Amino acid sequence: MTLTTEFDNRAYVPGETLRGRVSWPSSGPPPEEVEVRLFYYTEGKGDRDIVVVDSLTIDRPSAPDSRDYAFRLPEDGPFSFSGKLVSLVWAVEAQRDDDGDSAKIDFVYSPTGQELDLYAHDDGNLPKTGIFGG
Amino acid sequence: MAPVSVKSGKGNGGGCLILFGLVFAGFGGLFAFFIGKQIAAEVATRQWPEVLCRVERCEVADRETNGNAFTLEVAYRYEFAGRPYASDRYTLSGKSSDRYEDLAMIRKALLAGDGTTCRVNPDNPAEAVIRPEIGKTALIGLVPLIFVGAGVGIMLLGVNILRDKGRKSGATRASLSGSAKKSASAGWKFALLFGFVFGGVGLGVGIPLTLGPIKRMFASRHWVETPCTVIWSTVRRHESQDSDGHTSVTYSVDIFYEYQFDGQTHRSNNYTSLGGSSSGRGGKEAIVDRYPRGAERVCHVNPDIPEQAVLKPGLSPMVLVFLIPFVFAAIGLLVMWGGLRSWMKQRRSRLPAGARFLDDEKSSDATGDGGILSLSPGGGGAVEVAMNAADTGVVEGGGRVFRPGAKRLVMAVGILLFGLFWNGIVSIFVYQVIEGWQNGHGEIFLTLFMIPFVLVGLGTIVFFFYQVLAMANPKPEIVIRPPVLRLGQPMELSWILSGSVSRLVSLKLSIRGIESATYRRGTNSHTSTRVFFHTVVAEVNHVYDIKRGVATATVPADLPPPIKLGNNALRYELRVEGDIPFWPDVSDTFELPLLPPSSDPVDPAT
Repeated sequence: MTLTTEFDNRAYVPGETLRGRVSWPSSGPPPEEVEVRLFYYTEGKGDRDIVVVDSLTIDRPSAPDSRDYAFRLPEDGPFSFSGKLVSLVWAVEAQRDDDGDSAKIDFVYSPTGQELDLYAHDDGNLPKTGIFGG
Repeated sequence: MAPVSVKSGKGNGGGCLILFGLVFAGFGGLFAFFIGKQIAAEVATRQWPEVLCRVERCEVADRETNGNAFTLEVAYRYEFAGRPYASDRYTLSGKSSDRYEDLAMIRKALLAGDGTTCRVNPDNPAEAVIRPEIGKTALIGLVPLIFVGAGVGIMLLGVNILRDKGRKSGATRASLSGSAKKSASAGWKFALLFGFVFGGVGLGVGIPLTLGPIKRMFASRHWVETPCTVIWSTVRRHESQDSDGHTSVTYSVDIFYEYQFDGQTHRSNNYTSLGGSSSGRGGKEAIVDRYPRGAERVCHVNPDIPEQAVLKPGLSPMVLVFLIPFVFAAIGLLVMWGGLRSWMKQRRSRLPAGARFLDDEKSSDATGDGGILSLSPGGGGAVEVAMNAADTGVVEGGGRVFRPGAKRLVMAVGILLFGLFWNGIVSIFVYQVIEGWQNGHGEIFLTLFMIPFVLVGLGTIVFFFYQVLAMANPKPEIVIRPPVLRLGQPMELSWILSGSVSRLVSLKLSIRGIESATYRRGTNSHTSTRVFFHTVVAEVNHVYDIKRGVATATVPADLPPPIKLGNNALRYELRVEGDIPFWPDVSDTFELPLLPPSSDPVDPAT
């Protein structure tokens, strides 16, 4: 399974469309289904959250071994950011069948064209908080 | 789609779940087997033919002649296939009880009327019983079956996890977004199963154990006072062994007395409506000393059923212990409710808002020619989440208004309820500890063990009174303009405080951005929070400025909007802090529903 985006290592801003191509080997049995998903997920100290924003499914693809896709990115975010506890990452992923091979590409999506830094305005005097157990 | 939480660390819970489920089901199966044997024997008696029998004698033998329990002694005659027989068995295993009253009621039923029926073994007509007990045993037999069912369910869950792991390791690259589907599906199922078992056992044990006795406790307050004579009075000792071989000893009050009611002689050994035993011998000895053998005392008799009597009517403190199964039931129901919510969220969020699949699109982009397949976006997460945030103010008169509302009262009530529950349970054990020390049988380990629990209980009491005092504090009303709050856009904040404002010596308004992350370690969950942004909007010391004022603030446009997911969140809050000497401070927070920066140079919201 191979997944590409129109531009490599490029950040996207609100209102843009993410375009690319998904392809699978023409040798071997064709997949029952190929699904391409646009989603974002968290990384960091907390357990991971994953939100699938959009997806498209190609049922029983036969003769072609590649497809172009496009997702219009949501104007109001959420946007890629990086913090000390939580970071949010956007990605597009393609998977064949339910448990089959997959390919993923992370990308940055933010109004500034760069990953937002939560601590960009940290002047060293931020109040402290804590840990709550349960 | 509703956010799905997936553990980011490695874990191999599948094998552990299978082992745990096997042990769970195994023990349940073992108990079910033994109970099943008993049920089988009792089922056989149910098949025996029923004949009329004449009860010649029925007595309740008291402990002094028959050991540690009251035993029902019965003798009856019957005919089978034209031949006379006699028997003395009430059930296959006999009938005995620690409560005289239970056997007295059976005796009353047997001796009433012209006779009763009994069941005769057709293969051995000399063997007969008056009553099979299949009803109760079958009900008891359901309990281990619940454990068997739960154990099998847990094993299947473990198999499922191992199978998924195998598939993932077989795949060249495991799908990240695909795991979201599977985790969402497994989570709510396990919660429903676990909650059902817990809740079922709790209610199944709690309801029969408590409802009848509680009803009777209230009714006993109105029973008839009747003179009674004490036959014997002692403290009974009960020993039980736990799985570690440790023997625990409990004690109960055992006072047997006789009384006359409606011209009939009755006996009973009920001290209160609720029986049971507990640790601590001293208190029970003090009770027994008040009822020496031969003493004339007053008991309370149920005028409708004179066999029922108690020495001390009304509620007994032991009822608190009987409420423990309801705690399990509450936990189980809460877990089930969580599982149901999760399932309903998934059903509602199956399709992201605005998403269209290729099939529904009926697009002119034909398949098979390498054309572009495009869909309109879903998402809108930030906007939707921000507007759904709790306590985000109301839009009135061109501004967004924030008021504390009932938050302070809710906090105080919440602490009160928690404190009552916590201290209610802890007080039972503290009473035992104190009684032990008073009687010279103090337990140092139990005493030390109870210290942190007592400290928490005392803390809740102090915190409750702190909250009550805080409820009398001045209340702020904050109005922010424009009502649609955006990152990068200046906001005008105006405040008015009502109440005894003169008590405040300073007032500070600030805005904070907070990131939070929840993670699980074993069965515990922890939430870490950290402030990533902080700006002081206003800080005043003069009473006129404290009572009312205006300030402006801007949250930078290069920060992300708030978001709330299953385990991770960003939020922005407006904090109002007022210092009152020698009194709880004013401290209110309001969540700010900040939207992303406007891309429209002429924002309609302004």
